[in-house]
Amino acid sequence: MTSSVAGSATGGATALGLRAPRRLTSHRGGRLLVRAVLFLVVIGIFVVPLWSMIVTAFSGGAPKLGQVFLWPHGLSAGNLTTAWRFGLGRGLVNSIVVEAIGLTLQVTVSAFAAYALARKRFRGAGLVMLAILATMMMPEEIIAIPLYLVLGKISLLDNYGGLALPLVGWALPVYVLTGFMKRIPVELEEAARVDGAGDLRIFFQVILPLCLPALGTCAVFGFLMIWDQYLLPLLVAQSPKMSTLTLIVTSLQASQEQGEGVRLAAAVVLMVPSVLVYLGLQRLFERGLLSGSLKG
Amino acid sequence: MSVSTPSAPVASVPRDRGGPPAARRVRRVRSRFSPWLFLAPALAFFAVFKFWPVIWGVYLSFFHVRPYLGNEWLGWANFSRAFQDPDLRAAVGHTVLDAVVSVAGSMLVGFALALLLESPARHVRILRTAVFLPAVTAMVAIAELWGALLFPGRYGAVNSFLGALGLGAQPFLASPHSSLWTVMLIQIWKAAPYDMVIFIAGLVGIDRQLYESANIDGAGAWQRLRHITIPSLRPITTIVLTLGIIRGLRVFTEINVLTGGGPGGSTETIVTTTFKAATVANDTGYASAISTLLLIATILLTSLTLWWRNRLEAS
Amino acid sequence: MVRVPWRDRVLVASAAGMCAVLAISGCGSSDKSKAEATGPLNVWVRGANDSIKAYQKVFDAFTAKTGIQIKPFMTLTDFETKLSAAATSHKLPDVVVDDAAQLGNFETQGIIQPVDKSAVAGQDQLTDRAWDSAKDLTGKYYAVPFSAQANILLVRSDWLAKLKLQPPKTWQDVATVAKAFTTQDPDGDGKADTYGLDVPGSTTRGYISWYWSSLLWEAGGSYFKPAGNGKFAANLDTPQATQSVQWFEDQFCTNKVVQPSALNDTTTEANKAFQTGVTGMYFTGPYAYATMDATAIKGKYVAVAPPAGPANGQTLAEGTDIYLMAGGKTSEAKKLAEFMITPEAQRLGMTAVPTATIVRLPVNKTVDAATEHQGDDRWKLAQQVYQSDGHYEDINMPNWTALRQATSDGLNALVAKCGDPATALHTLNDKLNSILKTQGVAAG
Repeated sequence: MTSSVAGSATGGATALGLRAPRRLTSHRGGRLLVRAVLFLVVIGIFVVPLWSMIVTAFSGGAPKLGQVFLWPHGLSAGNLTTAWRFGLGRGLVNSIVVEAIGLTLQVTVSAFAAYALARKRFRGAGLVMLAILATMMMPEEIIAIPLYLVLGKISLLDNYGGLALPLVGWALPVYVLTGFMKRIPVELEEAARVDGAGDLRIFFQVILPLCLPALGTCAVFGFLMIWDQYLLPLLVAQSPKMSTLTLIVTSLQASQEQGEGVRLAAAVVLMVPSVLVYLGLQRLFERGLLSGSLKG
Repeated sequence: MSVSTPSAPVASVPRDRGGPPAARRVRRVRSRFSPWLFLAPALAFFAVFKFWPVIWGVYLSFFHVRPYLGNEWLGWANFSRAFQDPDLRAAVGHTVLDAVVSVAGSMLVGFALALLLESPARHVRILRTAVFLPAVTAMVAIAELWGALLFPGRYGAVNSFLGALGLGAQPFLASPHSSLWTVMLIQIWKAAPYDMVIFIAGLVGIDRQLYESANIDGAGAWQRLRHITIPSLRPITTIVLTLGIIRGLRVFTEINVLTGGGPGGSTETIVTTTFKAATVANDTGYASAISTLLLIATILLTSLTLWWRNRLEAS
Repeated sequence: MVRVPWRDRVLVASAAGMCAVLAISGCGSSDKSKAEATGPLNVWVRGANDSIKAYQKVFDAFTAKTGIQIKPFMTLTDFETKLSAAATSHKLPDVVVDDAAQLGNFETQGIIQPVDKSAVAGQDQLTDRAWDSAKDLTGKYYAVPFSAQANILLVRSDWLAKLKLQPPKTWQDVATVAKAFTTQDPDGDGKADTYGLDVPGSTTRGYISWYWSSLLWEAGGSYFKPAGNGKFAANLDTPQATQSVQWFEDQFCTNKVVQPSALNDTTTEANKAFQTGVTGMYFTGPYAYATMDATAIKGKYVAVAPPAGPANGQTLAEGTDIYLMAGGKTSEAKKLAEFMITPEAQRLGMTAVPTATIVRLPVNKTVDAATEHQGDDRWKLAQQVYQSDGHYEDINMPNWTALRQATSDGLNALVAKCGDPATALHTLNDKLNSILKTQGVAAG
């Protein structure tokens, strides 16, 4: 499989052969026109809404309920500062802290588990893999209420632990890393073992360095998964000081005197980090998307 | 906490480098335990935050849960109530329709996008990246954005555009006739770019010689699409489609942010019903019963899909 | 030579690291459980923005007087969700300040304590009507009242002037003015972007039923009729109820004078619609004076008495109550409640923060809203309307919010589908009767 969509087509012909050599040039002109129109439609549907969000967020003036700008009405950070006054900064910090705790543990724990599953033969391995994959069918939406009770029991309500720890166990990275580690040639490990290396040393010095791309992929997916959380913080974060960014964005909607501009400014702040992560690690991301196990 | 303790014993086990028999025995013991030591942290997290809640949820399904008055054993009553609840039945209908249409719609749109944007040219690559942004943006941000754009008044952004085309103002989320369809459009908008990337990869994987021989045979673009492209993509498509629909059964965030289930209950889904049963009606037991049923349905459907995939792969 | 093997060092380091992370992430909780034993009084208030400041002033005065520290927590969004979640895991605060309408809901859950009215210092200074809003069906008190109010109608005076109209006095007037506001471009911008009536028509927290209640009473209808022995029957399949729903639905379906997003809107969006000149008439509580005056429409609207329906001019009255929670620090909580009903605290609640009147109409007889807000006749109006036409919801029912939620779901669906009122009300009536049965107060 190709490593990146960006480098998709090879040679002159595209996969579909849409632009395979044509004999009639007039025909070709018509084709180009159709393509151009289709491109404009795609831009109108997928790009213009995001553009209008940014424009409205950074315009001055107070848009009415339900009013969105297509062109800037003066450049202003007023909406952003208003949103900041209503806890946007606090939400951003909370989301980053939750992301740091959750993602670090998620990737670490998954890598450890994947090593055992990929490189060790032991009784019950199949059962463990099955159990881990089964948790894919137990997302927050289904277990929300009892999960909340569990968190209450172990004092994980209204603190970072409650917001981050339930997200650590995720089957996707375990699965992806297991698949990746299985493909590492056994000779490398045996060579290290002859040198007297133990499991941990092999894990850290042989396996992990070879897994960096897969770890990166898992990190990108983990980042987005944790950043997206809404239901869990809705239940876990009781006080405003523990609210994550998604909660702040939705509660701005519910505060009085707030215009669409303020709400959308907050939404922009929620959007930017994930877009940056995606743009920065696009290659890793697309590889992950294509590596068989799709969307969590 | 318990998560970190399992790794400690390893540190106390003496190191060995083969050699004398005693050391070799220790090594054998360790290799029997070491996979579990590596697994322990992950299993601990899964046990505490997945399996414990699942088991507790099933248990609570049999009670009228009253934290300050004592739980009351109900037997199967919560389940039989769920099967007779007309609101829940409507919610299941909405959920299934939403899951099927939004997942299938995303695939269709994603496929069209893939055909259009599959090209190594620089400007197409930039456009492809821009189109992909909704897929990585948090659902809450997307819901807020579309909630604003789809304001049902005549001056709402999308309605202004429709007005310029000579079409009347649409109620979108404000009418029970269009609310669920509007939610689906928003979901497709977010999910289609994902599918686009998958399809582009699929397109790239198709043997180019097939196209070339088709060209020689004088096949048109449509025939190539029908006879080569679509059949080549079919295996991944069906699986992704089915698993996507199963995943769609748990839709919550966009509904809660956009409509809260309204108007007239027209966008109420299984999970919003559960959420309301637990937080508005304070009926944790009933909410747990619905969740348990949803979990069972998810497990059954997923197992069925995987069994079917294995059969496909075998044949 | 003793060397710690590389592998073991890594293990120890990673174990220590993980312990640290878990300890940090769990640390907030240990403080909390300690705080519950002694520590400050945990008070949850449903409020946002400037009301938070106003409550803070009241609490500061209390702390200055008694030395009891208060740890307030205030939110508007999902307040009852968070409270019921807290109840589910036995983490209730000591005191909750919320709508009187939640009384039955809280009592059924067993999360509030009964209040011995005679033992509340200063109880005789409170009005009987206020105390009635803290009572359940059996006559037991389960809260201490803090504030009262009745809804009034806000109308854009500049729009009226432009279209040469008078403030509405009857339902007929409301329909006429609403039509004119919607079709005759009252803001003069040449665009058809205004609407006559502002309705929070969402089912969230039962808003649409909350709004419609006044119309029901103004048509001479009622939610329930007593059947003796403390039993009730739902009373919504009456001509009066049908008439009020018909008029309400006409504004949406026939005249189309309501803001188009109404059926998904809570009071937040409805406020916003009025503030940004989308709608011209808003039926709401007098707390809106402060909210609206903080925006661009200050001075551009008037407050008038609710327009009378076919039967009378009765309007929705509401209260804010102080609830003492189960398992909380009762004696300190009671002290706070006793302080909050003193003239001093009531005055603070009315005027300490001009942009948020957390006490709308005082529950304490020795304080007078019109005097406190001198020079603002709108408060005199609010007081008159409350005294002469204020009509509380049936908050004494075992669980009024459950009944209100069902009514809201029914009304929202009816108006959304522009269905037949009589049929829908008949179904709704059956539904209410079945809920009354589960609450143990159904007739027959």
